[in-house]
Amino acid sequence: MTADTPTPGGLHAQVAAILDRAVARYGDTPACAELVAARRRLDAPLRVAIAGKVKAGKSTLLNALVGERLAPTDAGECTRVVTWYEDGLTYRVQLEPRDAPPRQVAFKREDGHLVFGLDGLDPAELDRIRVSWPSSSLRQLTLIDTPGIASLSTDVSARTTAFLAPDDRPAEADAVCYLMRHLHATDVRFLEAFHDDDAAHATPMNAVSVLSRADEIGVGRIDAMQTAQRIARRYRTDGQVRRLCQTVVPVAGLLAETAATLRQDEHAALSALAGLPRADTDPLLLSADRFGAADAATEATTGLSAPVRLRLLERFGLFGIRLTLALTRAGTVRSAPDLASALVEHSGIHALRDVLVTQFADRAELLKARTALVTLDQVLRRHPMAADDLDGEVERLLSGTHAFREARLLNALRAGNIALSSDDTAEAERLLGGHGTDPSSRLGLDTGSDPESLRAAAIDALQRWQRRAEHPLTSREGADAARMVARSCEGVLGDLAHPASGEPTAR
Amino acid sequence: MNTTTTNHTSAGPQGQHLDQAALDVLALSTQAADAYGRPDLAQRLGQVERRIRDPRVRVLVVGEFKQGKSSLVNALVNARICPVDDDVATSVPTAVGFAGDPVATALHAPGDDGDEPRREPIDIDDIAGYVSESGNPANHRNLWAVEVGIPRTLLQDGLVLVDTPGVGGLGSAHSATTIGALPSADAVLLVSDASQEYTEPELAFLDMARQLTPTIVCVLTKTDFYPAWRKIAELDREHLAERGIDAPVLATSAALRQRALETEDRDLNRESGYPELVARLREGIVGDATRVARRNVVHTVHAVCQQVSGRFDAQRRALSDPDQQAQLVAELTAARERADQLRGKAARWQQTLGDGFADLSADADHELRTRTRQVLKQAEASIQEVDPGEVWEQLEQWLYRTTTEQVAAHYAFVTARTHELAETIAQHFADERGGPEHLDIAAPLEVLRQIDPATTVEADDRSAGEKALTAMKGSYGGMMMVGILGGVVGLGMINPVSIGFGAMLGKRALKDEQERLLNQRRAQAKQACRSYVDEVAFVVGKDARDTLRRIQRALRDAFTARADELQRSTADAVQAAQQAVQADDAQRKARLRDVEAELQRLAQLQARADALLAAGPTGHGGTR
Repeated sequence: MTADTPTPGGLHAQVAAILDRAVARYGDTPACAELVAARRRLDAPLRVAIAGKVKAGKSTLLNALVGERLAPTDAGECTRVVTWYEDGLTYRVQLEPRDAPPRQVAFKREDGHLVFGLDGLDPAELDRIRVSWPSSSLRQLTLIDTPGIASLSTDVSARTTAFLAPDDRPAEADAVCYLMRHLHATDVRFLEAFHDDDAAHATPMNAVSVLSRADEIGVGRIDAMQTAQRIARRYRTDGQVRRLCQTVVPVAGLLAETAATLRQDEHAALSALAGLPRADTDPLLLSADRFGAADAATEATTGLSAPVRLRLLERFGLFGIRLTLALTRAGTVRSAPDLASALVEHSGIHALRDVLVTQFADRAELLKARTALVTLDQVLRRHPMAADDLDGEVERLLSGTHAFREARLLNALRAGNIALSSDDTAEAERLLGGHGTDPSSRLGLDTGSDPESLRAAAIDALQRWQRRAEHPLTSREGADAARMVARSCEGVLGDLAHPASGEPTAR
Repeated sequence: MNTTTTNHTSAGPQGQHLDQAALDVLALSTQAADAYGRPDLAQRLGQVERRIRDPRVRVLVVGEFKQGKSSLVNALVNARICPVDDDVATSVPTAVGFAGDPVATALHAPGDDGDEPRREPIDIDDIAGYVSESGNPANHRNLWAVEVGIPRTLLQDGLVLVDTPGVGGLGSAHSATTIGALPSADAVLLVSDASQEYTEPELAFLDMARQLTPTIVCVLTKTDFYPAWRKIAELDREHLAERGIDAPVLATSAALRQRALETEDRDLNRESGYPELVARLREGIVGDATRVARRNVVHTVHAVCQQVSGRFDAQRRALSDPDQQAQLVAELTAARERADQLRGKAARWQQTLGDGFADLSADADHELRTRTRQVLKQAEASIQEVDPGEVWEQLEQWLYRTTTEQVAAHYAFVTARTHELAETIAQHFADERGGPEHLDIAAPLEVLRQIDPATTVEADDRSAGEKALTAMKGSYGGMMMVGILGGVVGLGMINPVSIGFGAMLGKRALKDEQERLLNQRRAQAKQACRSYVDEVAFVVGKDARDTLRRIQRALRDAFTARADELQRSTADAVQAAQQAVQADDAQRKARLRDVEAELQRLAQLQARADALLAAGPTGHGGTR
């Protein structure tokens, strides 16, 4: 059940059909372009915006996800325009000014990074930059790099907010990956701005928080990632965070980026260092200044010139260098591929990719269908057409689709608005598809479970939640919720009976 | 006059270093005042002495959380006092000062019955259980602060380092507490790590801090870990320059410092940047405080000597030129009459004081009302856009923080106006002096100058202004701030308001999901905000009026004391001039010698006081 393989008769098909009809109906009007775009978007990859405070490591993470050093990273504030990275047939960079036609610009790559000029345009005039890049990672997800919020130049902040949480139209991104270093009040405010309660929105479901620059949490101590895991776990259980995003994963973006682009000579330099006695290397590893020192003694000890060492610092960070030396000395890392996979493993990027590709993609259709319906709904409101049945159908889909209702209930549960015991809340979230929408994820069983045990578990859950719904002591909203969960159990049973059509259906 | 011999390392109540040289000069001056029968002047010297005997210099260590504030304090004093954790943050301010033996005390917020904090001695190894989010989540122990005393040379001159909860964390009420504490601090260290340049909230904080505190030092931390720290430091300096914030940026690494101390590695210690920071604290911040205190001593001693010498001057002039005696007596009598006028209830300065404070009180009221109205307007506007049931917690925190910020700004406004007023009144004293310039009243004028905190740019003359400020700290500051910072009372009031507010609101009702109740919830939330803001405005307004009354009294007392001293000195002078001529020639010569000897002694005493300023920043020494 991914975005690429919509089943006929499913939600995707219904939404596509209704959009096609709308396009035909509005064929000669100005609203048509918007509808065509919405229709095209329905079939495009999921759009994930990478957002966060200034210097949260957004561009580094983007590079790690793409597997190439595309986005420029810098010690100052550097991303100033919303930049789209999408799969394409050719390599292309296109500037899209607000009040002028798009224009393509020449680009080159310096040290991997894309370098291009703005063709004399002020960043403020640009609506976006669109980078087409043939890449298997981008085939699954379109990634959108955004300027930092609470950025010093406030118009940069404003641009991001306007892009991610526009007042007047549906958000351009289907999902958001929010980077934070620690949870600050501004982070919470941001997540709230993105979180809106529009009928069909399923916000916590399309937001994931990333505890970024996780390698810096222990200021370079070798156990930094364990600490980061512990912190992420605490945030995951924090009521305020739960209400706003699906989960929290720690990621050391720099390690992941470097692992994806590791070069043989980098590994060679580091393994040479690891071969030196610790008495020689330990003093150098005390500080970045010492490691990068330009004096003759350091050069003689390490056998590496200062520029080479500075380059290693930039690529690995002090933590990465310490980690690599430790792993090499322990015999865990013997080759460049070894090193790359060890760095990936430590970086936590896999866990994030899992969330994005499985959990988000799982919901991608739902998210995209919702976006399309909201767009259509707004067009219908702005340009009503007499004697039309379209708005009725949009209304029916938005309010009647069980998947949307499930998402709404999940939000309410996560917000703590429904009085259920914590065990019941956890089970309800699972059955509603909070951890994945396939039957085994909903039922909390292993993916390989046989259909019979799945069926038995589904029937058991169905009966329990029906009883809860009818129990006289259950509060009204509790009973409504229980009925909804029972309905999801029925859905699971239906899916099990007809495994081919696992689509959320409207009725 | 005898000189007492001194050793230069006397100790204060906690065993910290005291400025013995200054104390010696004060003791001599007090002896002199007593000997000349001027207990009023001796009393004034006593006030100055009390301050020298409590040399605490409070330095607030502030910053967003997880920037390394606690590590910084620990590395400065080379002890694990403040708990350091990658995740758990500090929830209660921790003040680290000097003590001969290690000691720790928890200050509990006072209950309903008392306004003094309850002091509980705690185990120094158990501090984490009191000040960290894990041991004391959201400060449920309801502590104001924890005070720690340890024997460290750095702290011996009175330095007190206050580790504060981070600004801007999830519980952003923390930041309000920090801002509230600013007025009582002698300096602020803004801690920010080298991972990124200053962010908007940090610069906003600095903007506020510079209005409320005299010295700001920016500390860049974790330079061992971030290769680009030099660039970040440069960017930070640019940001400061753009905003016109006058503060140095010092780069430090607690990790290197700690290791350097463990291995006694001098080079590494230098690389850590700490020697520069320590020097800045000692020579800059503590040194400044000491210099200011000494200047105050010198000025007071001069003033006292001049008050006393007026009479001898008159005697000398009368004795050396008896023919002019009548004219001299007339001049001195006129001076005395003017001094008498200054003492009267109808004196112009008394009117200015009364009217000035009445105006100030009204203005302050209006100012506060404008501020709170703005907060309320903003709150209502945002409530209209959201479902208050969903975001109530954030809204509550926002409201709390914004209100506190506004109250802090209000405080800054009132302080500035109070200083202006004190200046105006001092001007009256100068005006009413009037008359020919060759009179001895030149001496009392020195006293008046000293009252005025603003006539010189240097922080020379702080007595009255200082008094006003201290009075403010005792109430306003106290209302907002954690108790320790100034040993004041207060905070209790905002919290109960806030709690009662939540209860009144009925959170259950707010959580109700029903769409049709949304408007009702909004109305309810607005009402709650209004009640809260009204309550704050009421409490702060009352507090402001009380405070202003207190300052008014303090200023009146200070100026009245000066007027009394002046009256007494001029009366003494008139009497001395009259008596001088009654003697015969031989007696006169003998008296003249005596008088000149007295004047010389007074001059010596003043010279000795002046030597305090010529000497190094602190007369004691031998500390690293």
